[in-house]
Parts: sequence; C-alpha cells; structure tokens
Amino acid sequence: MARITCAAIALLIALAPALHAQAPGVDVTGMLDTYYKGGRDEAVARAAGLSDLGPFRLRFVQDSPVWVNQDPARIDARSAAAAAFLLEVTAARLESDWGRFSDLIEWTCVRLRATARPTEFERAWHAASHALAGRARARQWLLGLSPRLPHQKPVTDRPMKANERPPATHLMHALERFPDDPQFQLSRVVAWSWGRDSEPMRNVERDGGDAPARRTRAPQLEALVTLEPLTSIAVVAPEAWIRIGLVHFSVGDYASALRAFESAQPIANETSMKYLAGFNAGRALEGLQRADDAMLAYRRALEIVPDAESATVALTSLQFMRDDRDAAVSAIERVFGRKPVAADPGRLMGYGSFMRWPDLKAAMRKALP
Amino acid sequence: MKRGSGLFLLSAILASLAATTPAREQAVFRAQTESVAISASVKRNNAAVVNLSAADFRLTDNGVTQSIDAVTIESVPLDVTLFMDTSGSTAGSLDHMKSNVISIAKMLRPDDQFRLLTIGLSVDTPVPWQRAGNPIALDMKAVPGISLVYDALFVALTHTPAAGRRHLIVAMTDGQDCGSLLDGARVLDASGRSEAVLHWIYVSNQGDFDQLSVPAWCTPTDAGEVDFVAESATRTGGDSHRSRLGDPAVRTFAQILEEFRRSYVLRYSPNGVTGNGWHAVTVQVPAQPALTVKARSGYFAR
Repeated sequence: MARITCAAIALLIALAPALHAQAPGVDVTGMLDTYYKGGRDEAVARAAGLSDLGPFRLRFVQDSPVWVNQDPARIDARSAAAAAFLLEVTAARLESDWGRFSDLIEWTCVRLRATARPTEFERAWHAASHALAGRARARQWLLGLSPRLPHQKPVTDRPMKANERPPATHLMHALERFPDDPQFQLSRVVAWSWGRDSEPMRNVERDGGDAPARRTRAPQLEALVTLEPLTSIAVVAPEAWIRIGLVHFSVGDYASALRAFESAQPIANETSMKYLAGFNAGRALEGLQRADDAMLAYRRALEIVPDAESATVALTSLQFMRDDRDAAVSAIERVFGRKPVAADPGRLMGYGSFMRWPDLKAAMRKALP
Repeated sequence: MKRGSGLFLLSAILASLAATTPAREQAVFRAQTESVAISASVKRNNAAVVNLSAADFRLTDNGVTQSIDAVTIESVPLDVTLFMDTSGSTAGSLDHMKSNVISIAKMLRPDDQFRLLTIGLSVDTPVPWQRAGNPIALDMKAVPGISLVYDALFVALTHTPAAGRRHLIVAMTDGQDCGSLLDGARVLDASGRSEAVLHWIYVSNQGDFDQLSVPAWCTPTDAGEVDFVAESATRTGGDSHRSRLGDPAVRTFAQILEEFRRSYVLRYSPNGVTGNGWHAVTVQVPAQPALTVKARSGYFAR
C-alpha cells in the first residue's frame, strides 16, 4: 500500500500544472463504465479524441480508483478494465503522446502489482504494455538507467540529475511477477539492445577497415548470451533466432545472420515471424553478395505477406539496379499506388513486440476478468 | 545493345503511338530504337534561357561529343511527385504542409498528373496519381521517431512516365533519414537510373518537436559522409534549395516548376561510346560561357 501511495503522490506532483486547469467535459468515470460494459472501442475513441490530455490524465488518477472501488465485489474486474482501457487509449495516441501516458501506465502497474497473486490478466496487460513501449523504444523506462542482461554484473546507476525522477523499470516489474515468462525474458534482451543495434533495418553496411573488430567486440553481441537459451523454448524460439540474426547482421556477420534466419524458418508459426525469417534471410544474402538468392528470398517473403512494403522495396531496388526495370516499376506502382493495407513486420521489427499489438490487445481483452 | 535509365527507349510501339500524337510531340519524340534523353536547364543569372537550338549545345558522353537534337518541353505534360517529409523533424508543421499541397496542386495544368508521397511507419501515398485539377482528399498525419526519406525517394525515382511526359520530383524534407531499408548510396544509384528530375527543398521544423511523442531512435550511418539527397538531385539534373514550409516553400516550388517547364530535353543516339555502366554526360553552351547549365550528370547503360 505504501508503494501505491508513493506512486500516486509522485504522479500527482507531476500532474500539478493540470490541477490548476479545469477539466470540463472529461468524464473518465463514464468512459470506464462504457469500457467495462463492453463498449470498448467507443470508450477508447472518446478518450483518444480529446484535444487536451492534461485533464484526462488528472481525472484518470483521481477518478479511476474511486470507480474501481464502487463495487467491492468486482474490484479485480474493474481494476483490470481501467488498466486495459488506459493501454488502449495510449495506443490510440501513441505516436504523439507516449510521454503523456508512460507515467500513468507505471502508476497503473503499481496498482496491479498490489494484488497478492499475479493473474493471467496482469500477464497479458504487461505484454501489451511492453509492445507500446517498444514503439517508443523506451529502454530506460522498461529496464532502468543502467540496463543489464541476466549474465552481466549489476552496475551502479549514474547519479540522478536534479529534478530527475528514476525511470520506471516497468519490464523488470513484470519479470518480478512472472520470472519464468519466456516472452518477458525475450522482451528484456530486445529492449536492452535498443540503442546498440546500429539500426537493424538499415541496408547492408559497407565493410570498413575495422569490420572484423566490430564483429567480435561490438557490445550488442552480449545479447547472444541471453538469446541463445531462448531458442530451446518453443513459444519464443522463432523470434529468438530472428533476434540472433539481427544481432549478427548489425555487426556485419552476414553468414551467421543467415544461419540464424534459416533456423527460424522451419519453426516459425506466426505470419510475422515467417515473414521476418524469410525477409531477413534476403538481407543477409545481399550482405553476402548473393543478389540472385536474395531476390528469391524476398519473393518467398512476399508469398507470406503479399505486397509487404519492406520486401517490395528490397526486391525492387535490386531489380532496378539490375535493369529489370519493368518488374520493379510494376511492383512499386502496385504497392505504393494504394493505401497501406496492413502493418508490415519488416518495418516494425525494430520496435520489439509492437508488431504484435493487435494480437496482444485482443489477448488482453480476452483475459479481462 | 539495349540502353538503360535516363533513356527513353522508343521502339516500334512508340512509333505507332507517334501517329496519334500532335505534330509538336512527333517532333519532340522522334522514333528511334536507341535514344538517350538528358534534362538540361539553362539560365542567365536567374532567368531561364529558352531560345537555344541543338546547334548551341555541346554534349559529351564519356568524353565523346555527340550529335543532338534540343527541344524545349514547354508543352509537354508533367507527372509531378511531391514528397512531404511527415516525420518527427518536420511534423510540427502539418497544417502548413497540407495547405502547401493544395497550393502546389493548383499550379499544375489540366493535362499534368500529380501524386503525394509522405512517410510514417511506411512510405504512404495519400494522393495517388491523379489528373491535376481534380479535388484532393488529404489524409496526412505526422509520425515521429522514424524518417523513411531514402525509401520514399526510391519509390519516387522509379516512376516511369508515359511517352510524351516528363517526371518532376520535388522533395520537401530536412534530408535526415532514419530507418529506411535502403541506404543513401542505393538511392544515389537509383537517381542515376531514373528518368525523373529531382529537386530537394530543404525544410526543417527544428525546435518545434513535441518531446512527449515517441522519440527518434536511430543513428543514421550515413551521417556526415555524403549528402545523398543533394547528390541525388544533382545527378538527375535537379538542384537543392532552402526554404520554410508555408508560403516560402510554395514560392520555391513555383520557381522549380517554372524552370522545369522551360528546360530542355537533349536527345541523342550514342555514337562512339560503348559499354555498360555509368556514362558521364556533360552539357555546355560553348558560345555563351556566362550561361549556367544544369543537366543530368549521366546515365546507366545496360
């Protein structure tokens, strides 16, 4: 209880400027009622359509605990609904307002953790929250100021600056509650790699004079120590292999990257993982100067996700350079001549589990008590 | 030998089309089996020079002087691609961008075509190719934290205009790529193989970035090495400009459009040069050295 009180006080201090503002028309209680009774999209749309989020933030902190406690027999269910509602509103305003929601998410996390036993809803809620943090690549918010992998010795955090609040370490809270969850373990190492991954989506780097040294000393190679054991856990093995491949790719070790992507191919079940295994194999093959094989890999990836933008750009850029101009132009005009139809895993792979947000949101809703 | 980008390959199909095109266009696009088309603008100080003939130009292909036809393209309809960088670095000016799109589209002639490219988590086409003058339904949004400038330019550069048309790309961006699949070098290659003329209007929105949006995370590996956007523009015969979103950017676009409509297409059948790969091209007006000539710097032969 003391933790909740502290978190609430800290958040209210952060919201202090908004305390002076009026909050006309922001009926968070009504939105929560609507969400709780099944009008989920409607409630989220109402909140997401607000022009000023300040009053919403204030009202959420002030009113949601009252709303949760209105029915003592259903506190768990109402608490879960409030938490899920917050994540869905965050997703709707994610691009422009991540920083306006992250502290509310952690405040909600503290409240969920106050229950004695972790629940399946809490697990699903955490997984969904990690996806949103992935889009923001919020490494410190997930892991703290000095993130370490399990095999690494802890280090003392750098001194805090004046008026600086410690980061939430949101993912570490999830791991405290669900220490054996392989998805959270994978999320941890993926988040750790942000900022160290040399843009995994970037096209093949040119080898400079220090290329061999880069391959053996690059800090992101530490991630392999954590990733490799995860390849033996079926539920995360395909992505673990893909992440291993991306680490190798980022240091220019294309042969190792290709082996990892090929290891993922036969075991991948999800469409996004199948696609990433094939698409990234193409990128590794490009790195190995095997353009024909790379084009074949891109074509196979496009069989998995037809008209995916990432493989289309990769394939057509090779075709264009090789003067297979008609095929390149035709594909580009087809894919980019219409509105995008679905999220492209190849565009989203640098953002952790964000590519799974629709599924994670559905799972979170399903787990609502 | 079949020749590649920067070329219009006008073969039997185009010869048959020529029968249905106006007389002026028949003169412009003479049916040939191998032809290279080089865009060139000629200016005295800031004014376009439009009265030159083929005899006034000297064009070299890999150092070998070629025999050319020179034709102004005043009456040729245009395909205009406008690329608006809607990433975090410029996103604060979304309203300016929207009004700019409307203003720019109005400058085009009825037989021109227009499309709009923007960027978010993907390269988007909020306005697909459409006839100029048609109402524009704008659905633009800003997506911070990612900036697919190179990928968008590649998409723009691959467009192949129909016979008798030319392709102008105007990119309004700060040129900072973040998260593209393609690197700058490949875009530069593509610009050499493209039939478009690319103009870059540098616009920036620094200082007006919402710190609470998702942050930019990537570190462009190209940073500080080569200014690929500017080099790509130069390679196509275009140029780099600096402006601000809003009225200044519209005025800059108007100048680019005016210059483009008053530029020349120099066509020739390569003579005395062989080989695949990059062909360096130079264009001069020898009798008038005071003139400024901007021309495509070459083409890839295949």
